[in-house]
Amino acid sequence: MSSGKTVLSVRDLKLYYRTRKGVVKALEEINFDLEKEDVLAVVGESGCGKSTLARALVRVLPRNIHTYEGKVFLNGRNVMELDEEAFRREVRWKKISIVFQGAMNSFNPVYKIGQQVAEPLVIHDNVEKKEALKKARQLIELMGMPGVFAERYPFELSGGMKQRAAIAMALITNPEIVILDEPTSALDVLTQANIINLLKRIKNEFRLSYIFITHDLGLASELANKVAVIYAGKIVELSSADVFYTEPKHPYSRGLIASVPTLTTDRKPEFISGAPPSLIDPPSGCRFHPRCRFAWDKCSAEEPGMIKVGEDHLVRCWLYGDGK
Amino acid sequence: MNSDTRLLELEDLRKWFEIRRGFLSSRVNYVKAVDGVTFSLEEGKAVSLVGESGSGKTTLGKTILRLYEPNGGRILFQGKDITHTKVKDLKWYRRMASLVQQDPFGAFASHFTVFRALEEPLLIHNTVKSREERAERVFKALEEVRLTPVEDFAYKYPHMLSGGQLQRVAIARAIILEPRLIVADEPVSMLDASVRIEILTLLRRLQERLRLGVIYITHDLATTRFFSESALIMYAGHVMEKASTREVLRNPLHPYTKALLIATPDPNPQNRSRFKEVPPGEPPALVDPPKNCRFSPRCPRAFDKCFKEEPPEFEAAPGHWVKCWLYERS
Amino acid sequence: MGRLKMSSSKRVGGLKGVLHEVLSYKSAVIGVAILLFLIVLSVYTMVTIPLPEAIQAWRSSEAWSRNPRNAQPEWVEIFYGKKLPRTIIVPLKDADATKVLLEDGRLAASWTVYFNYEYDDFPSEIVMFFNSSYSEKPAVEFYWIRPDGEEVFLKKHVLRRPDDRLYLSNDLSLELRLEGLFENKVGGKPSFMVTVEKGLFAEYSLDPRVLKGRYGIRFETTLEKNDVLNAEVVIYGSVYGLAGTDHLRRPLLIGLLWGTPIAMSFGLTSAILTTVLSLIIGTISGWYGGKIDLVIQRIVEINAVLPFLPILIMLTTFYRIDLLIILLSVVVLSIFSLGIKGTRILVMQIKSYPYIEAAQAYGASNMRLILFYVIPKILPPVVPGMISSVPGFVFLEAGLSYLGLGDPFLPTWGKIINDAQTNGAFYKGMYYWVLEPAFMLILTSIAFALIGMALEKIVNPKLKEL
Repeated sequence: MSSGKTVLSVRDLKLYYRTRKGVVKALEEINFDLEKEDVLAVVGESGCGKSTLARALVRVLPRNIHTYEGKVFLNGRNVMELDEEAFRREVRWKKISIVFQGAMNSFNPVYKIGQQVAEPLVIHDNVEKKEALKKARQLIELMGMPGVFAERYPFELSGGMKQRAAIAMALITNPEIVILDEPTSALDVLTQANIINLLKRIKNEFRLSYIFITHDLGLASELANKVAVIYAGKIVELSSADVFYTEPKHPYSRGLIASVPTLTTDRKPEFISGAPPSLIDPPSGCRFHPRCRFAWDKCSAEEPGMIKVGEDHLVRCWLYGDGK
Repeated sequence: MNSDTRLLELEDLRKWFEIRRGFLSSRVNYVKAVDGVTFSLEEGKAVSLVGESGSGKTTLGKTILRLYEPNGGRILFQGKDITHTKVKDLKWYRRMASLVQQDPFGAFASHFTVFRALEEPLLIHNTVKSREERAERVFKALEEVRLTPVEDFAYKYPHMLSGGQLQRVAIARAIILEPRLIVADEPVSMLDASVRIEILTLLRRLQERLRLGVIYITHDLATTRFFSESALIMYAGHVMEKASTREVLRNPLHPYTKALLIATPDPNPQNRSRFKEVPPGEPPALVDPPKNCRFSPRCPRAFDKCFKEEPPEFEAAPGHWVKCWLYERS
Repeated sequence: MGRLKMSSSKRVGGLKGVLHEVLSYKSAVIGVAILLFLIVLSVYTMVTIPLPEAIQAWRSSEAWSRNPRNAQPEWVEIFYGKKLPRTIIVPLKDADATKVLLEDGRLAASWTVYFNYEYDDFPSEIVMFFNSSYSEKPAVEFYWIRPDGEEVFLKKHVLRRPDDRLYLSNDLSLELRLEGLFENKVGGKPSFMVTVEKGLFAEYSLDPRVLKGRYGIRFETTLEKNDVLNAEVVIYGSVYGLAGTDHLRRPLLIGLLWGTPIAMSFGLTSAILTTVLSLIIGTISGWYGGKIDLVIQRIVEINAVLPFLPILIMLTTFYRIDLLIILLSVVVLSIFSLGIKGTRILVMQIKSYPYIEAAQAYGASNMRLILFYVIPKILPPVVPGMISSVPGFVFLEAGLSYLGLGDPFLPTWGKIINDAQTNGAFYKGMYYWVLEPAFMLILTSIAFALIGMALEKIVNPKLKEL
């Protein structure tokens, strides 16, 4: 599946926000590698930091940043060292583009779809407008829509169509990595399946790598060959999808998988009781320990690191450490 | 089916919304959001109403609660016709039928404590006179939804609770008047995956214990399985298929139901190497729709008749109804 | 999820909580402090000078005859760097007179009274007030005794009536005599114009310098046996009290003090009435919609193009004007403001919130929904606006008074400014006359504006970043 060439590796990424109530530790100790044609699903509940991760990688951040540090190597080069202007010119959209959650609602209602899809090309590559529009039209057709849709205004398109246009917009600069932040969360089931089909097709066609942010483990399995589970701002399990779905290790991952109702098996879905903690004042030790069925003294006292439990399989849990 | 146990019966229920084109135009168009729905629900049973956005499932729910007045058909509640009863004469029905909404964060007035929010229905219906008794009822309802210790929750404001906790309060509010029917409109779709099942389980247990009729409105076919006896599949204002939940999931007949089943994501690492065979396109607009099968433009198995005539509901198997011409002979 | 966020995060944790949060803003602390000061001032005023008394005194000219005219406040000395004269009242009591029986049976009476004059400037005016009873009009002779002992004959005056007043300052012959005396003593024409006051109080030199020391006044007259003669010599200063006086010798302090409760109650009452009534009308309009909405909206639109001030002026010209009528007119003309449109939209928005639908599902009536579900929701954002609108109404009242359309009886800030204007205060350099009421107006508006702004920040958290 993956060609073995690492396109993106993130090391110790950390992001804190400043709010009136205190400092929100939105992301800590984020480490992962993304290889060519990899799809990494970043899975977690709302407020766990998964969308923040998406934004941190393309540096689209709010103003109240407290800490933003770590290393992000893009094809071996640490892009965290680039200043804002260089980052904008060389990385954002050029190498990593993003389809935001609800991107379909972010089109400017007074411009035609084609113009908006072409926009990144005009800005980043100084391509002539006519040329860019032509490319936009081609991409729109590639997304399975009639080319004339380029001449339409956003309100004339359905949600699914606009989402396709948003994907076209993310692809127009030929990026290597596309971040998909809940790309189908507001869409109907059938439309969602169609979009997922489309994402699969263009990934193969363009040899893209995806970072697929979602709360839906079922949906994640449609695209991902790697899964990162985030809980309270930290990755708690990082694994290949094949291993993850058959043998999840972290109690939280297991709970998540068990909570997905299935159509194909007779397994009755279960739930994890309790709610995710505050990121301003997270629990001591393992952040999951207040909700964990297997927690013991050590879990609340000491924070586990990522423990290797198999080939490409890391878990942040004392159950798998030497302590047990 | 014994009519004594029938809680709710809908006969050919219609809810059309008027739209006027332009200020002076006298031409009236109708959005046929719910267009001929027939089903009945027994006491103490749960039915799932499954459909995508725009299928009319929410409108149907609100019409059942008589938050809308139907344009046609009949609603019988415990045998009483409430189709066109005036709003002011519906107070008894408000006590018998309650609502759990989709958005737990919007379902409560932010200036009411949990206690006050739960007390409101009691105050309005004046069923419990003394303050002590009301408090007792409120605490009991909170216990029913497992928000214990109740004192920890009763005096909190909605913004201090999580979505899951708020949805429990919403359920507590829905049962506090001891109703016979609850319409739960996408009660878990805005919650995190890990708490969805918890809320559905809670609702299911309450329903079984209090022998409530529950109409569970959802877009997620996967969650219907353990939480309802029967299921209705809605598409563009029509009921496409109705049967026991088990039957719908095991042996779907309507091409639309089949497509839904295929499209519903299931966690399985094999998925990524497969493309899903789902029909393209989008649901039709419901402004004066043509008289045909509303799924026909997207249906992979549609033939001439489908484009011309609206199919009736065929009983393809005992208790398994399908609104599809493919099942005409059976 | 595209869900409309309510202006959340604000929490009505009771009045205490709100106050606590308000006071977490420094500007609001200042505002509250000023407001408290104004309230204390109002209460103090109302207790110490009851309104009927105040109105009575304000309107009579007799009550203030012993006050200097157009005097500056005492504290202006700070700027001049010298001691400005206060008013000195020198009483001459009948009983203190030295009386000598004359052959014809009449009495020769004489008084000598002394007073100290230690100020750096000349008095503004000298007036003698008589209070006598007589069978035949007595003739009085006055002598002026300077600190060095020199005695100057001033004037012989025959009383015209028992309570006669003698305006020495206006006495041209006296002035001329004093000038002559001055030129004699100095041996040349002095550099200044010798007015009566200067003639009496200046050193004998070419420059106008006050001769400080103990002055005396001697009266001599002949009285009938049963005649009684009392008099007061009032040597008016050029400064008076905390706030000075106006052209009618009235102490401005009374006007300024009474202006406070009037302005505050007018501003607050009209702000509260206008806001609450607008809120109710807007809520009804938004909630019920249909024909009611249509009618209300048309009224609002018509009201928006009606010229507010001219109508108000017309009303106050046609009808007997008192504060209450002005208040009612202002409220009636303000309630159908464009703010109703905002309330209406807000209510229409709230009407579509799930919690309203939920309440309808458990049977809440329209009345209950409006009172307990809608109004409490739209009230918090309205309160800061209400507080901030107080200065507007205070200014409006002042403006109307300034235009001469205010309540004619009440002493108000606007009226003081009006008096100042009509009496050419600025032209004559009497800045205090305008600046004092203006300062009070600004103080009031700052207090309300600061509190309003803080409340706004609490209600609308987005502004907190500013």
